[in-house]
Amino acid sequence: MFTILKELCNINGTSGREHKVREYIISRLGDIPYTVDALGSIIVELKGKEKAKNKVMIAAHMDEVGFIATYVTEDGLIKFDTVGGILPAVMSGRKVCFENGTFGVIGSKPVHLSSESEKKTLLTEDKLFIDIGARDKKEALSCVMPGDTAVFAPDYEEIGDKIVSKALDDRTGCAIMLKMIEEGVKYDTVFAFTVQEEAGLRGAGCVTNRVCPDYSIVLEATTASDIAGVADSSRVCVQGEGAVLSFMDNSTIYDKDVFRTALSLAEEKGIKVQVKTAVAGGNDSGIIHKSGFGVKAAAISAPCRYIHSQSNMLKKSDITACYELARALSEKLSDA
Amino acid sequence: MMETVEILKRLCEASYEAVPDSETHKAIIEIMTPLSEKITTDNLGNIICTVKSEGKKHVVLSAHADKIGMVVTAIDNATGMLKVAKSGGVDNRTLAASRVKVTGKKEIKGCVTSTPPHLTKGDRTAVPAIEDLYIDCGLTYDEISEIVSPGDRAEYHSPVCELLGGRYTGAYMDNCAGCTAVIKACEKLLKDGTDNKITAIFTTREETGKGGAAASFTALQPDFAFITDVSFGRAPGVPPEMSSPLGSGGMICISPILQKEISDFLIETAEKHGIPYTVEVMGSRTMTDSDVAVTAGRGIKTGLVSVPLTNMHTPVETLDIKDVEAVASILSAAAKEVM
Repeated sequence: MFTILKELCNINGTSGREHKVREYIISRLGDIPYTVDALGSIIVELKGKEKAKNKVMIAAHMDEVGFIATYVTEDGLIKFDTVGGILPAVMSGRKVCFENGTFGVIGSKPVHLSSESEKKTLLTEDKLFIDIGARDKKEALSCVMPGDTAVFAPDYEEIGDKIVSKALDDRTGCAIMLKMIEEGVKYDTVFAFTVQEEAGLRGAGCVTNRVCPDYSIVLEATTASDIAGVADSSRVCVQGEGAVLSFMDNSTIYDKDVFRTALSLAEEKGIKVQVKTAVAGGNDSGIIHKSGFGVKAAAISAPCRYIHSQSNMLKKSDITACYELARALSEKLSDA
Repeated sequence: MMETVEILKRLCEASYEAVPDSETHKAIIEIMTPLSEKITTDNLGNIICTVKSEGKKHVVLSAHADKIGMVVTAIDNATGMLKVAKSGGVDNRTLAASRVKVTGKKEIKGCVTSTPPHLTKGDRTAVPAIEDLYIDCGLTYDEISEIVSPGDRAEYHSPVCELLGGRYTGAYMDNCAGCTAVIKACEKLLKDGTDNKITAIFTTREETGKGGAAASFTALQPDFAFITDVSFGRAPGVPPEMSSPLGSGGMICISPILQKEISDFLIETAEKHGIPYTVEVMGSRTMTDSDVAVTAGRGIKTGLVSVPLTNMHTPVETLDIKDVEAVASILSAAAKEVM
């Protein structure tokens, strides 16, 4: 699973440009039948050993946050917008990589020449530019056109039991689903690799309308603020404490029965689980639960530090807990 | 003979730890060994390479070899994260979620923390203070305490990466670009021959107050010092009178604190050999080792040639490799011909 995760993380795929991730996932499916919908999501209706009483859909998104070129200046610098939410604090001074492999840097005025107020204010995307080394507009346009997208330059690193990389949100969910598919399932289960989550939950609704599941389990990465200087009550979730279950976030009120079932199931099976202690963030559940004929939704997330930056950090044991809980919960709901 | 880019990459990516354990210093010494009759280091860790021990005039080529970074001040008990202070002018605006390496008992990777969106209190553009940032190596207090202690160093981990048309980006072009230019100049001088005595020095502590260079220059008391560092490359927001475009050659400095005849000599030399250059004029101090070299000991005739660099003091310092080569050519021609 972690080898696949590394390969997935290194792929370039912002919202709307998930095709390389999709090709990789399809290559891993081998002979397993799949459908690609009009927006580009992959739907795998996997046969189990038994028929399911209830239709369960497990979902994770293929896209990642990144940048889109909007304009090229006479000097050959690239103006851009962000794709998905990226804070100014993690943009300046980073390397990015366009889909065709062109590298660039998000440049800024040197600190030496900045006024005191400039030193205290982060530049937002409208005031930043990407420099690919082009001498003028013509040279820049020979490599990057408006509309081309870029991601944080891949730099996957493992430190002990931790992984640091761009795009762990949400290639982690994709890797867990691939493992479940490769191992096979007890009951018929639908797996959805969705598009455009980071652009505002655009892809998962169409998938849900097609599948019309009774239950959904979204596999995600969610903000862990268990960092030095943050009060215990503001940590949201904590690395090493296992899979994170949500009762409510900014996009969804999760089904209470499913939430309770997941908690007791984790206890019964000895899977490490924690409850997300804030109503914050959101994921594909936000559109899934309102689509089709309405869906009882659950979200299982890996606690992720520094989400939406070049340095998402996850703990392997938490990812494993997410996998175990996803498997157990999908079986339970299929047979409920 | 190593290619210019190879030397630059090797130096940029070698960790810089308190001397004498610095990987950067080890790399410089290894590369300079075949080019030197003798290599010594002094009390402040400056590397002094005798390239040619006899000659009419004594010329020193110099670049600072230290790097900006951070120093570990404490380890957070609860999380194992490292509290740090800045060593040199690190740009706080580029720290959050940046990759770093920490040189403790061994080198480990990590990243700087960043404030999660729900805790930014609506202010997306506030620059985090160094006191609010930590380094997260993903290890517990017990695990990291085995490896890292207060006083150990952390620095950007941002390997050199190629952009279009011979431009390169990464951390620590400042001043591995200058070190590379000095190395290439020494190669040229040995190849072409010179009547002058040549010493190359790689100084310490430039980024923290230019503490290293003075000692070496006072001890050597050469006839001439030609110093190379990085200066501002043209970019949005950077005044044209304070910068030169990448690819425009070496930036030859004119300043009231440097002897004008030396600046003129450098310009004439570049003109004579058709080496690309621009002139950089400053009203006072140059904020390089030149400031201390020129007044070292009994005073030294000093010239400064810089490599234009954009995004200085960030993990994506960017330069044109041809400028490094132009600076090397100006330095070697000047060292050979000065009298």
